[in-house]
Amino acid sequence: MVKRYACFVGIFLFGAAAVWSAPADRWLHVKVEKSGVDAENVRINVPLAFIEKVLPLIQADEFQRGKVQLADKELDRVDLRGILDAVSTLPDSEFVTVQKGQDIVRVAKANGYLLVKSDQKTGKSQKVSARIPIPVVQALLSGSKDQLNILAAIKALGDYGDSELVTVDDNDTRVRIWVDGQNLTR
Amino acid sequence: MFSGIKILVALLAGFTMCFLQTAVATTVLVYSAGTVQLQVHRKDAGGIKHIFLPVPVSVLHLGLYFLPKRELCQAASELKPWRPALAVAASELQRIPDTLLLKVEKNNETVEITKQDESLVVDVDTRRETVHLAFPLRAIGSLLERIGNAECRMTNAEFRMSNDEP
Repeated sequence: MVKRYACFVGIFLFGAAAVWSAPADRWLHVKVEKSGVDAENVRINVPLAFIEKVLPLIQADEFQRGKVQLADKELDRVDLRGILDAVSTLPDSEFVTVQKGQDIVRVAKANGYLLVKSDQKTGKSQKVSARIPIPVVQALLSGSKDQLNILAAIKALGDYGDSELVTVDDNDTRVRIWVDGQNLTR
Repeated sequence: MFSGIKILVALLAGFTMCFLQTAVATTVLVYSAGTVQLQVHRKDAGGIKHIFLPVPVSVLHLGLYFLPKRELCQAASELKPWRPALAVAASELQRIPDTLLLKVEKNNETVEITKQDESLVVDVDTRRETVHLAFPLRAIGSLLERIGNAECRMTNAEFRMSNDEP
């Protein structure tokens, strides 16, 4: 009798754990704020699960089944996957620093994230910051050489917590792309 | 004579009941699939200021039968590559909570697409007018299916006739 109750309790706890551990909806947010004469604000809130379901069904010119065909043949000469594999096995550090005058571009790896920071001061000043989980970048490059696998990247992104992915700041435009569990922009 | 009037009254009552029941059943049937709501409010003076047009989805379905074959086939052909994505998008949107999906503001004009009460709502606010369109999400799949299933194999005579149309 005790065994039967224990079995029921066990099944109940297992079911409850399964429900509680089910991943909540992750949302991709894009916010663009442009000031000045052509002031413009754009906000996009879309659940990652929605994108995952819809992307494979879209077949436009360069966009087929969640993959983008790159037109730039220059990329064929660079083994991006090889570089990324090499980077992922290395310890956290700054790999590339390019400084030209007052402009600086930095590429680093920290806590499983690929960090790219660009600070352009000459001409139109612009700051770009990207912080992407390395498995997401790997998923993005998992298609053929001249393709970006957006669908795989979105799927991989769902495994990560709240994260600011890209911010771009220039004189009159601010762009933010981030992922979190809320369906409202901050 | 008196019993004749009684029979007449009973018949009238019966007819009225039947009519009312049919009217209620038809109304329930017509509105059960949801209603597309279109509201337009013109801000500039003159002409019609406000339009409110609730169209039951079943009426839209019915309207597709009366649409010229040529237009329906053209719509079906243009929609064909997007139909699976649109159908899945509509079904997935039903699953998510009410939220703002897209907002664009430019030059004091705003376009908003939201999910609200099982409908996809498009709000446009310009200097001249505001437009509010609410489309029931569950109706999108059936409408797409109806357009997709349009019999588009035209006979030679039909094709010639459709091309002769202005």
